[in-house]
Amino acid sequence: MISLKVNGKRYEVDVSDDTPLLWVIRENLGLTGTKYGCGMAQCGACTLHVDGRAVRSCVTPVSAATGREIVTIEGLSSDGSHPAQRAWIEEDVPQCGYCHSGQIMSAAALLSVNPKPSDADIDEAMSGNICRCGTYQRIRRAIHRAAAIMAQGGRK
Amino acid sequence: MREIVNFSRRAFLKTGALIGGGLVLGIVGPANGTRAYAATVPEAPFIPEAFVRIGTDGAITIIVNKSEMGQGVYTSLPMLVAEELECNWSKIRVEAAPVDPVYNHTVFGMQMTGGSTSVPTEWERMRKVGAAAREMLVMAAADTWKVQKEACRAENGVVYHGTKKFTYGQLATKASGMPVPANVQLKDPSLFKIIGKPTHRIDSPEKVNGRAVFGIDVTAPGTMIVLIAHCPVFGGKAKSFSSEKARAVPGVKDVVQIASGIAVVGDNFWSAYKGRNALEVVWDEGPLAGLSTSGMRKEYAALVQNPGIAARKEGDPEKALGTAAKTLTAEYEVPFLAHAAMEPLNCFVDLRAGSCEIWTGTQSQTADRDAAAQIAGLKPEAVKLHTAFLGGGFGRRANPHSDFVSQSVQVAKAVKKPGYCQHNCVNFL
Ligand code: FES
Ligand code: FES
Repeated sequence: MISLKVNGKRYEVDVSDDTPLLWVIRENLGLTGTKYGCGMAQCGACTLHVDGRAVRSCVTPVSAATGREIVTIEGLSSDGSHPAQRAWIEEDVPQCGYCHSGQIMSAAALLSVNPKPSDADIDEAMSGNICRCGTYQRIRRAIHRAAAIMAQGGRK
Repeated sequence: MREIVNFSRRAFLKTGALIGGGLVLGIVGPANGTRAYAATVPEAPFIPEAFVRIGTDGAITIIVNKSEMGQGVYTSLPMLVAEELECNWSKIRVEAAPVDPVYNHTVFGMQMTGGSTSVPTEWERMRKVGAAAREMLVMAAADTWKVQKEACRAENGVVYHGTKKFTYGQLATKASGMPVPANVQLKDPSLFKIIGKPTHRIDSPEKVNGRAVFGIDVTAPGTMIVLIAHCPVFGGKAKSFSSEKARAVPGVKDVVQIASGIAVVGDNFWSAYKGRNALEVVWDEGPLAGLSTSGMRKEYAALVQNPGIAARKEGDPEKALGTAAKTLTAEYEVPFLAHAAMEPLNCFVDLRAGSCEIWTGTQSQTADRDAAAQIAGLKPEAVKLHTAFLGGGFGRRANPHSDFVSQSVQVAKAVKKPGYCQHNCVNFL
């Protein structure tokens, strides 16, 4: 049994130690917001937070995540009110939407350490998140907007 | 001339219940006709031939016959309906259409999404649906008030006559009993309030909180996960294989051969993945074994030397070039683009004796359903296909061979156990 803390809740799961965290989150916990794209740390669709840092869950063995705080897109806010989520809606960022759980988790991790990122900061922090629909320009705009929402007292 | 049919009365009588109650409206194209509709629908346990449903609670559900793959069709087609319906945009909900001839592409004659055709080919039909529904709501109000319908006006989800008013929700049930107007007046574009105006996408909220359900997210208790070892070359197949090591992987339930490869069936993704990696397969790469990008480039470069097909001819270019003071030559090349989407191809199949239910993100519902039916040995009507969100389409999910759906049904059939199979493609674009 492996014990995990995800979105503030404790879970015990019976999986082999080397199972990627992604599949435990999706299959065992049923949290399907975290996406599978490549399984080899190439696309960023599976990004979630481990102790506040953006992590590719497809290459993180579940055994490396025990005792840590894991947050998925479902746990980023209870009601879609995280500044990044609000900004994403206001800027109509998602197209197919498949990459955006990962995009938003990367953006949220960036904003938590850098509340006013420059374009260069954004490009660097987001370079591991691929969007096949090509929404990069709006992602950038939305991150600036999220930073503005935070500066105006919006919740972090 | 298309004919508008009121589907709700008959369906109401037959099914007794309609989620939310109210008005259901659809338009039958000339190819299907009312007779074909009448032959199939009364027995149906739901109401497929409908594009709009107005609930007694005022909720307006638009049934969209196109796949949402990022192009925004879950917003654009409802905009067409809402423009004529004069409803409150915030009350709009979207549902993916089931497979039925009434949802066929108005030009291509099958249910599918592609070629940037959705708005132009539904432009008139969706507006007529909205206009007819509005007319019926107005008729219901006028009939209740015993006034001329011309003296009533519909606006923002309410029908008014002088100081009297009814919301669409209050009128929905009665409106469903009104005759469908034979001719509806469509708005002059100068009066558009929604069409052509920046409108936020309907699907953004669920795409930023993880709730949007893509094909790959569909599951049920006891679902088996299938990964297929495909031949590295399209069209190839397994010459021989050994599944001993794969079967030894904990969680691997079965290994079966299908036409295009070897499928590993596991309790979960990781078992199936490890099992697939443990397969030993000798491939027969088939007729395309020699095909390569560099070979094709050479072939194309040679073809360029041939005279091309004239798309348009004006003036005398040869003469003009012969007398030009200066001529320029340039070569342009573009690479092949993989139609690879972010969401790996996948398909969820529930195959049982006499029925098959499929959830997938597809651009090509009719063909996929028919392919599944053929493999399962069922009538097409016995196969229910549900369209989930597509994590990108790019034409890869509109496939004349219905490859990822066919493979999934082949595996479901081969494992010979009724139940759920989620097939995910890895390393298969
Ligand atoms: S699925 Fe993890 S980076 Fe692509
Ligand atoms: S929105 Fe489709 S991959 Fe990013």
